[in-house]
Amino acid sequence: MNFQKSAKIGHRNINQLFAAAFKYSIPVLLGYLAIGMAFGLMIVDAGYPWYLGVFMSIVMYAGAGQYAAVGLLASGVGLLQACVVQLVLNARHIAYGITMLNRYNASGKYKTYLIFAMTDETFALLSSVDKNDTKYGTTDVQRGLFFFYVSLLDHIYWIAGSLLGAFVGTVVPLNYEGVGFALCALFIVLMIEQLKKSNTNGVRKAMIISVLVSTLSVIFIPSRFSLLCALSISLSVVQIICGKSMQVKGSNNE
Amino acid sequence: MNKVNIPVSLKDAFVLSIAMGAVIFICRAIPFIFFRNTGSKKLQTKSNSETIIGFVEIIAPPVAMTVLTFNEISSRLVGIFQSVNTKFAHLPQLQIAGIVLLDAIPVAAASAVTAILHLWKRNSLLSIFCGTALFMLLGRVL
Repeated sequence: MNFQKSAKIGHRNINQLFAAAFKYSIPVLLGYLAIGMAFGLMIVDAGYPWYLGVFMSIVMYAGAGQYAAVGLLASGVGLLQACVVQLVLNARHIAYGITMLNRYNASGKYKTYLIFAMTDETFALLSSVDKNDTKYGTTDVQRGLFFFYVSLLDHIYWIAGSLLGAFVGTVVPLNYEGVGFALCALFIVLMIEQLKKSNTNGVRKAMIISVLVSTLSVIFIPSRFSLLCALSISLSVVQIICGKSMQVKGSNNE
Repeated sequence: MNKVNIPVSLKDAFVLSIAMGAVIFICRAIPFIFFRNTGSKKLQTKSNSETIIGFVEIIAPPVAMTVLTFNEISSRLVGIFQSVNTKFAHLPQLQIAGIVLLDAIPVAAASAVTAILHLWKRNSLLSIFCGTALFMLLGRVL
């Protein structure tokens, strides 16, 4: 994209952007510490040292993917099977990438890391950033830096969570049951934010379709594939039903 | 904890992690590789691809968030139903339904409280904290 507006970012702005990014990512901090700890517990439980868990959190960085990986390691799979399972499990990220295409392409040198760090939660946060909110940067470079900070902070929370889980979880056996609901609550909050941001007929219709499709797919499709199926079916159904009315602007407003 | 028998050696586990990490990165990078040259090479199809991407950018985030949310909630509910069904298989149907309903209260109530609180106050941290606290509390009380 174009970098004409890319004046130098002052120190003040960098600090402000970092502070904004930290504040913006706090919901994920809570969720990631919780489910990261659960992952740390699982990997130690499976008989591996804590540093494997941390290593996985650094190089894989995928919630569902790492949970599945513990199961794969425990069942002694080969390289090919492990890769195929991860391919199926993470194919939903393709949809995220399409959504973030323009925004990440405009973010310059941070692009590769942003793509690497595009987890469910980071995607949810970054795709909800209001394009007109100057708090999160005004130029492409500033916006790219803000995206980078949010992604990096989320990554750090995730690594810290797995480290904590592997250490504290085994030494101090508190009852952590239920903390993982923070992630569910985060999804609910971000969904409502999406609705409030663009409360048009088309978006409402699309969300009702998504509710129906995702509920049905959990009931009828094995859990490993239900998220991927629900995402692709919802997007296609919405495209078929609302696609035309969304492109002809104004025709879908009553 | 070192006495657990591990079928995949530590060294292999590291290799597998790198391989799986590469697969995950490829999944995330596919659209950026695939759509790299749109617009610059095929000028005549530019407007067409732009409307498709424009549509996806508008409609995909709310769809993805709704799917993620309801996938999570209904997975929890289906999980409760399945575990109750196997644990209390000997009980009459009506009683099983009762236990399922009771076990579903934390998920349902906490989700509803999170949503209502957020629609009302629109404070993300408050909604998430109260919803999670209620979930943990109900899980221990019921």
